[in-house]
Amino acid sequence: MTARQLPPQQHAALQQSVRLSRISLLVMVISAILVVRVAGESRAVQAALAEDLLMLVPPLVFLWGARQAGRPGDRRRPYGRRSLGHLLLGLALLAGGVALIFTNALALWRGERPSIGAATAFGGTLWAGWLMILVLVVTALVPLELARRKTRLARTLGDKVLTADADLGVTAALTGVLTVAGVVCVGYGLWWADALAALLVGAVLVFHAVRLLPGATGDLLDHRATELRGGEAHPIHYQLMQVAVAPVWVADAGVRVRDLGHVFHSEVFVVPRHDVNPTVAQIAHLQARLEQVDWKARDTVVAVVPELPAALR
Amino acid sequence: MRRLVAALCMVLALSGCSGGFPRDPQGTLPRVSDGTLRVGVSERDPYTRVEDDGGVTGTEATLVQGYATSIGAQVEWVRGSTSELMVQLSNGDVDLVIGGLREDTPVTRGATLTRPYAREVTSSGTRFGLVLAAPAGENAFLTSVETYLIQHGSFS
Repeated sequence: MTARQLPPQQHAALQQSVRLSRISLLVMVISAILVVRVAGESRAVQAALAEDLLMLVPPLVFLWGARQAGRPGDRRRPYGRRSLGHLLLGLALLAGGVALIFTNALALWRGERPSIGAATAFGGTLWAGWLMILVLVVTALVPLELARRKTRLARTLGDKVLTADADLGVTAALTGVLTVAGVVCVGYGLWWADALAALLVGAVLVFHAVRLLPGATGDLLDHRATELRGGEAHPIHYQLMQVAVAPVWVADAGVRVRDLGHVFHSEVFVVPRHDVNPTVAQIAHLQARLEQVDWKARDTVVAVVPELPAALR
Repeated sequence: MRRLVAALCMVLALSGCSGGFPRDPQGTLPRVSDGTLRVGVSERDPYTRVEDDGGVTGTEATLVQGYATSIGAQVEWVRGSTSELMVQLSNGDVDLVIGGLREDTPVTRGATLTRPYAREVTSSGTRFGLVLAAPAGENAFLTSVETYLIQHGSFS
């Protein structure tokens, strides 16, 4: 299924998302450069930098996925192409978070005191902590606004990578507040707050990854299609089921749906009534109606079977 | 979220108004101001020279003397090797260490290097920055010293 075959609304959303993802990359690079300039010895600010770099992953993955989804399937990839999208993101967050927790727990245990001295800016001299706070606030607010827009687009597209990206943007704003609090506490002479804030940032990232990973691996391996943030079955199961049992010749039906990124691959099993032998036309008619259920259901197969597969009974 | 940001701004605004921000965990700056500044000196001409009468001269001695005057402190010189003095700095037995330290000098935990106050070039053409060493995390003191270095150093 190429991007051009998406319904107009989704096509527009996809193009907008691609543009937003490119803007995100640019914003994150600028933000990382700004943070590097002010980071100094503060562990909390270094954690913010690590997070900025991790936040490069989801837009990259999304852009790559959007390219992949634009290519049609072939003999080797009969289901079309899909990417490891949010699995990669989950692993990156997990690794980054664990590293932050480890290094900062060590720093706390050793009693390392962050030294934040004077800086020159705006033609004067001031405590470098102020610059850190300024940069942190700015670099947290922009991704927050991007995240708000991405959430809306992700809902239209039903895209999990974009959802994860948006969620991470919100998380980044939260950790930004943590980091600012860490720097302010250092200003008040509470030296341990710096490494503690960085450690908490790591914990938030790990929490985020742990929430993301089961869904990500499940989608790739053996789970049915779920809603955007995982868990519940996607409503398309029930919609397909309703259409499948409607014809008078159908005695029973079962549905299984896999998430292939933007679109689903759906298989609808129908058991005909024992006195009916459905014609090809009847089956084709049913398939056409099933594909109209949702734009994501365009890849739907109808299988006429004497009895339902065990998993669907 | 918005409330949190607002609360944070309040805290920042308040802390900006009241003096004593940033603060030192060990209170170095309030202790040395109008008191005694203990300066560790390792001899390294022309930055530091220990005279026969026990006095200390040299470019860095002058710089530190000027800083001490600016906060109303008397300088007490403590002589030693750089490595001994770094340990004393970490233990809080001296407040500053001078002696032609470069910005790539390894420091023990508990000590930190200031920003460079001047840049020099070795005969082989390597550029390096000259720094002082201060106790780690004493941010009011560090900021005070560095502000003086920015205003009186020759770093461009």
